[in-house]
Amino acid sequence: MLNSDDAPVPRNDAAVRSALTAALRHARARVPYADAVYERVFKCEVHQLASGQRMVKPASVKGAVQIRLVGEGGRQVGIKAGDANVETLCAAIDRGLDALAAEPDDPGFGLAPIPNPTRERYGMAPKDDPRDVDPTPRLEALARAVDALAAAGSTDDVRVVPELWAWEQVEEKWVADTDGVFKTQVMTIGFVQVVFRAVRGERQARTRVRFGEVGGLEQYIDAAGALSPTVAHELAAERDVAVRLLDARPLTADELAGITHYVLHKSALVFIHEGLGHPIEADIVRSGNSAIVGPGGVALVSPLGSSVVRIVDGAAPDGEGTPVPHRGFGTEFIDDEGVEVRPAELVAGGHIVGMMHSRETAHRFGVAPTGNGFSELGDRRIVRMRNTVLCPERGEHWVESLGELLGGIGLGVVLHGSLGGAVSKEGMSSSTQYGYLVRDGALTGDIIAPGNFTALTAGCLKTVEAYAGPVDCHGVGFCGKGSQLRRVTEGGPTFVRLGASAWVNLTFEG
Amino acid sequence: MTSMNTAFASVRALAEAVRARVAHVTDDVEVRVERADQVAYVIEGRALIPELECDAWRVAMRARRGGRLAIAATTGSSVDDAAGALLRALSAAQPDALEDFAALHETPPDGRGWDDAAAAMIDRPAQVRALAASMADAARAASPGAELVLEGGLKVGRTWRAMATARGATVLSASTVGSAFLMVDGNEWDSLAGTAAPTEHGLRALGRELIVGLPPREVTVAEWLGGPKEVTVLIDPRLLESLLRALFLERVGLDRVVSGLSNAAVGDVVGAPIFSLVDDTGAAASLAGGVIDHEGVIGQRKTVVERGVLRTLLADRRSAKVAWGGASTGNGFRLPLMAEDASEAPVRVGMGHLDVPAGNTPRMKLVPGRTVVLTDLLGVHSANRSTGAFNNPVQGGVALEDGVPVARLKAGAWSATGNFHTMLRTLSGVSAERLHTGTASLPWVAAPVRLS
Repeated sequence: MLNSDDAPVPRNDAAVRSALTAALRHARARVPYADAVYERVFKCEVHQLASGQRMVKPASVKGAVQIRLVGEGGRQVGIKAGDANVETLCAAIDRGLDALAAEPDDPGFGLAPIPNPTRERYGMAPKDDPRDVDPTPRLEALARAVDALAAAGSTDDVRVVPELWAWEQVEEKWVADTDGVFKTQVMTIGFVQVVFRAVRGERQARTRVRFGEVGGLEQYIDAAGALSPTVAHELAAERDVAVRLLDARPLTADELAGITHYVLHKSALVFIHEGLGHPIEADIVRSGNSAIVGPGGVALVSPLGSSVVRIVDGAAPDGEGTPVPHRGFGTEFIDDEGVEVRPAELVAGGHIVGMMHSRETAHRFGVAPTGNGFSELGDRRIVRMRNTVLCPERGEHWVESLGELLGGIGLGVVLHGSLGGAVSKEGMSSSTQYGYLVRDGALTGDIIAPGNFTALTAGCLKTVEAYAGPVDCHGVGFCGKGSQLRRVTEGGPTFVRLGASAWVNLTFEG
Repeated sequence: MTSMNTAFASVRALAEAVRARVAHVTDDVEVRVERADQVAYVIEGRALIPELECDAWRVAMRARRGGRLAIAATTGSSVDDAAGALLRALSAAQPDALEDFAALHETPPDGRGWDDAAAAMIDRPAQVRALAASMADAARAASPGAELVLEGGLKVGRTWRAMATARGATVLSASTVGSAFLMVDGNEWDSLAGTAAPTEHGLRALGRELIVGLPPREVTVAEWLGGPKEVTVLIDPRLLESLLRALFLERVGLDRVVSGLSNAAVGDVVGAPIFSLVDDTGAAASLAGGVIDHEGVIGQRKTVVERGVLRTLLADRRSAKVAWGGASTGNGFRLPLMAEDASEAPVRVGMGHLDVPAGNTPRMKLVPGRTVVLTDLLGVHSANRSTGAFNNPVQGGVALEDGVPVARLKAGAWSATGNFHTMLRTLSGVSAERLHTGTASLPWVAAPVRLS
């Protein structure tokens, strides 16, 4: 993390600080405590639809404020205000006071202290700041590069139709409270999503690939319009898979019945987020909606996984699993309550050892906050994941190559990619984009059609046997908990080997 | 409280100010402004958590210059921010088939979609809280011996809108929303939604009937059906709506046809003869109906499917121009492609209020013998939009014996696989009862699904 002195200052900082200070003074005259977070996002983006319609939006601006009023007896209310001016904020506070008056006492409510309360500045300055440097040439170059890749993959029989969605946004955040805390953060985030649709007559197949990271689009395409080698390679590979999928087949009933192992590529680890992450969010635990941790915070399932399972949420790790503070699509330096983000070890040695906390849940469970309290543009702050990753300890269970990992597998399937997942109390479901059949410890060359991977939370990690390749937060996505979207990733080693069990299931479309 | 006149004046002023600011450098401009307030109470277990929203602004803008289209969006009430974003967007404008924006006609706010009682509740959060509590209390009272894990909430909101283009009047509209959702044990759920204020009677009934309607016993696929098999199931109206919007739209949206992603054509047989579908973008008292769509086209009622035969595709202004050289059906909506606000999203073809006429058979008698009613599937958004195929875990459903609920479907133990387009063509029953979901009026239907 940058030193406080090096961190950039948000634009219009003085005006925002003045408005927040005045609003909090207004609140403090009426309640014992209040805090506020104001988020402002400048975004430039390009959409290219399957129709070929291209939309370049060099400047979208959005922002909102969330104010929390804490009254006597633990009563509390949150209010979203659309503008960060004093009049709007004070009107919002006054409306919130009406709601606060209707709240019953909540003696268990409290907010854990904000660590390091005097540090003010966090973040990283944008390169080629899109507020100052016209991003249009880079956005258009990205669209042309994707078009060219699609054209290069088309043949007389097969048309490859690309879709592109890419953006870069500068996120500015202010957090302040009536105790004098004042913190800001500036982050730039870049995101690229490409869908390749392969069309041959009536048949269609598709793959989707995403990239997302702290920093701007310059990490994916340079000023001259050349894709980075890594991005170009992965896009071309996924384009070719889309074409191959036109001839893919589902696993037969006999194959499904005989499967001994699933091998999940790092792009297919959404179940770590959906099935294991959400049930260890302290607000879900407290509400009674976790199947693996009771409302009092005691694990209901122990062990949750095999002894080689370790899951950490925080900044994205390097290949060895060590967190790197400025890496990861889900990364921030402070959460929306002003708490510095720190890694939260959730599962170690197969046992649940921790939870993700906001200030409120940290107080209720008597622990330190972990920097997981986030909101979407003025919404209520709730416990959210950041980068949630399988980070195993080194050992014989962690090998270098896929070939080593497949050894001993009688009949299995290597699953790649997901178009999304969803979670229920008991388990999760995620689509798989494609797979490769494994027989007698080796890939057969058969490509397997898209399917649906389901996992029951209470047992799906019990048969994790081994890993291959470095850790990577490859699963770039958007979590929709509580109808609030938040950028997140999930990840792990390049491949995760899972024994077949009653806890996991793979099915195919009808 | 924000008065109606003050609110309308504020959204009109912003829309017209942005239009004026860019008029001299554009051929045409379209500005859509929303201003919204909301009071919600979220149920998380025993907790009831207030969420208030005051003066949330959204400004969605498009402009044309020299045959190119520029797009921008902002939140906030700042004319400078909005006009500045649109002026910057002009430098990035792209060639586009859309030749102009709608010429808007003076359309006085007609009160459709607005409920004074709902609007007033936003200034009485204690009343909203009491209603949310009564819904949860009713659920708990219906099962006095058990500790139910409840989640859900109650929301009331009001929104004022103004839309202006370079030609014609500024169209003003306003709407309210009242909605409630309740889920028990993370699986079974029920909801109500509409433009009217929720009533205590309705909310208590929702809470009570959700619990009372659940048999105590739960079954697996093996226990109920003897193992995986294809059976004729009852599709709940809420699941039917999800599948229509997620999968059937991909077939009947003219922009999808123009893109080559659908080969649907008027006259195609897309459903069983017992199935008809109406799309009504102007439906009164619906959260999916309005005076105009997001491109300023007046809401219309269209028969999309008549006795199984496709009668019209749904169009926005661009696809109508490209494919028909003619008029939009009023189905141009800003539909988020992924993680974006609606005001940022491109205009695409969407559905309005969906209306499927009722059949003659009581839903209890649609499927004799052993079957299930499916309320929801987990992750419908990940279904295959190209083919209509889906393959998802069941989230909410009940086992039926000759139409009578006898057991819950064990959570996490059921999956449903099928192809929605095939299902529509092979529907074997449409119920006499319909449910108003807030955005659709739909019956229960009987269709084949593989359960595993």
